[in-house]
Amino acid sequence: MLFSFANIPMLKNVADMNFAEMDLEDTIFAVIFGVTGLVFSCVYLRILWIPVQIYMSATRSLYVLTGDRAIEFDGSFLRKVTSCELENVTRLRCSKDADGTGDIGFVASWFDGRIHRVKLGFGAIPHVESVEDLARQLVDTRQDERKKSTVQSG
Amino acid sequence: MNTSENLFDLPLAMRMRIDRELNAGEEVEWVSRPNANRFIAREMFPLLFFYASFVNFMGLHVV
Repeated sequence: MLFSFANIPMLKNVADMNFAEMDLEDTIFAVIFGVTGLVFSCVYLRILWIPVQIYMSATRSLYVLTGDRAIEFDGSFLRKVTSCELENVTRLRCSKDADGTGDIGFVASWFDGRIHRVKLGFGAIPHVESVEDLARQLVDTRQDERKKSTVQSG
Repeated sequence: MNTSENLFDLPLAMRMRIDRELNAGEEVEWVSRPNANRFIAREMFPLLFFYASFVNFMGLHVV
């Protein structure tokens, strides 16, 4: 049997339409339904894209701690990079699963005429406790250095 | 305990991303990739509920 839209119950009316004899009213309806369909199709495609995004984030993300900064390289499609200076870190949170894997979250805020606030997180990293120790140590070192330099210059 | 991955074991593309981002004189103290299976499981679990409810909702309304 040849494929025909008329065989799909929902599309039977579309298949029966006579486009040559469409008047203005039909055209308006066609445009409205078409645009609505396109909008919802975009929504569905976005929803179906989420697992791909998760897979890319899981396999291509990268988390880095340097002496000065914490940097998160997101692996998903936009490949966003978020970083914060350790001396500006105001909150450091850690959550741990039973096998030692866990998350670390940084919140950094600073004022240079206006208030800045950056949040970034290292997700599902192995041996999270020792990483948290290292991060706290680096944050303390950087903040002590800043205090010293502030006292000297002040 | 040093839990960092060796920088030179990372794929070249990742090392290049790091190199591009670092300032002059800035040194990497620790680098790691997420545990992919854990990451996927954690993110997908709520999403599956969303998909299930979505299919349920659409099914009820279309039929």
